Amino acid sequence: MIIDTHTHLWLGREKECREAILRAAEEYGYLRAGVSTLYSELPSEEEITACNKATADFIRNYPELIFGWCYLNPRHKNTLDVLKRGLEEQRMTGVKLWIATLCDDPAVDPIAEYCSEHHIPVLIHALDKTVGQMKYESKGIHVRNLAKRFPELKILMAHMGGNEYTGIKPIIDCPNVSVDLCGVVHRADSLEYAIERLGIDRILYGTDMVGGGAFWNNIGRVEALELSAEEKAQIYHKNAETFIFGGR
Amino acid sequence: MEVYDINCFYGHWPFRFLRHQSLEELVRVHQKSGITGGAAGYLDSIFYNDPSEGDEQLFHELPERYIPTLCIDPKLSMAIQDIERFSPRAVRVYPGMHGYRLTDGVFASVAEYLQQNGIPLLVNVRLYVSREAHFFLPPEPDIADELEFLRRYPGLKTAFLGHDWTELKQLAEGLQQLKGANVLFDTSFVRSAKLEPIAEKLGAERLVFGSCHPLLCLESVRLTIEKSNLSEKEKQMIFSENFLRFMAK
Repeated sequence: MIIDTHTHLWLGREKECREAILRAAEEYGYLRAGVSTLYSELPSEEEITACNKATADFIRNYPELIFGWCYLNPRHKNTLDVLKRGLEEQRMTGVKLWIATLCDDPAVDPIAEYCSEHHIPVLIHALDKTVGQMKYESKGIHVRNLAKRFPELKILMAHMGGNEYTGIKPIIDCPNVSVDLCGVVHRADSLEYAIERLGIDRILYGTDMVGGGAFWNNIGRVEALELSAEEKAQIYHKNAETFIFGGR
Repeated sequence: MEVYDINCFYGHWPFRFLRHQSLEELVRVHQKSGITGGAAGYLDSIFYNDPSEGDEQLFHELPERYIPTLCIDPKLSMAIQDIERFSPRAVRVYPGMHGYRLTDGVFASVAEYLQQNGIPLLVNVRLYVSREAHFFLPPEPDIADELEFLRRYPGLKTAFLGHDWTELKQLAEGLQQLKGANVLFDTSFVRSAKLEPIAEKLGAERLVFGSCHPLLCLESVRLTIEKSNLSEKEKQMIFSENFLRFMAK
């Protein structure tokens, strides 16, 4: 049983992406798949609307399988309205922050405050790269800053911070931050490192499909470890059930 | 089905702690995943001033079902003499780590020697991705140089290890002009699940299983092949037949 916490539709390729996610769900026995729709680095208000509509349509068609991350650009004045609409009308479950701002930018604070108050999980892209770092691409240290400012905010740091050895260290003492294991190179030891530092209950499964996603690649990282069936179940779905859905 | 790993190692790695770096761990991980054996290198030798100092240990202690691969840095003296001394079944080079290109003059005498003596060449084009390097940033693989190398040495059995998906696509296009090239590619750094298009472009007869253990997660690489939609025959070629053909004397 799998909860894939991290999948995407790409605007303009929604049909292809939806089909790929549904195929994966059937082939791999997904319980749920968390979806956000993305397109450009600095999305306009219109683009955000289109992205969230694509996610909402997918949820409406497959409500048992698909849950949504409401994509926000914290720079937009209407961002809280977009969030409320996403949660109340579009049946979204959480918030997705990508690369429009660093996640510790003060512009994120109203979102963090609202989500803290309403127990809404926030999935934050974080990728620490030696080469090719984007201007507003968050790293573990930015996630830490936000987590410390909002200790009640439930944060899912994507990609284990991109480089596990630099991404995880800053959030070790931030119990409100969990990580997903997708979108990184399948280095040996890195998942063991994450489990040793964070504890197994803070590791969630994801694939980052469609695009860079790799199902068996990530399964292999879990299966390679000497874990009990219960510990594997924690990574594959139980931690997500608790973290994202509050045990529902 | 027998499974061989063309790209496995043991030994120390200076950039991060490896929990499964010993020879015993290599054997254990292989056994757990049903790997029969393979072509193994000693990581320490990459960094030694005299790589043969590390490889003496490798050639001495590797179990019989493994082929020890001799680490050669052609920029160091006595490379040919080292090959003659060890009489290896295969030689392994690291152009990015050691700072040369395959078509550089410094490598010519080694390449010619290997071609003349029928010794397969393993080229580790990548051992880690640049975005994760914290201070030593090796150059990215040079596809044009690799294709030129294959053109120059058509009789040399060459396996390129560590290309990513995009690079393999470029190589497949380049190989249209080099149909006779005696070359294999491993899939250790292919992260995406899209193995089928690569096999279609390159041909399954040019793919080989290589894990890059203990730097990469062997099970990720193995499952990506095993669970692909490739035919059982193609999987057998990748896991076993291509390796055995390549290493045959």
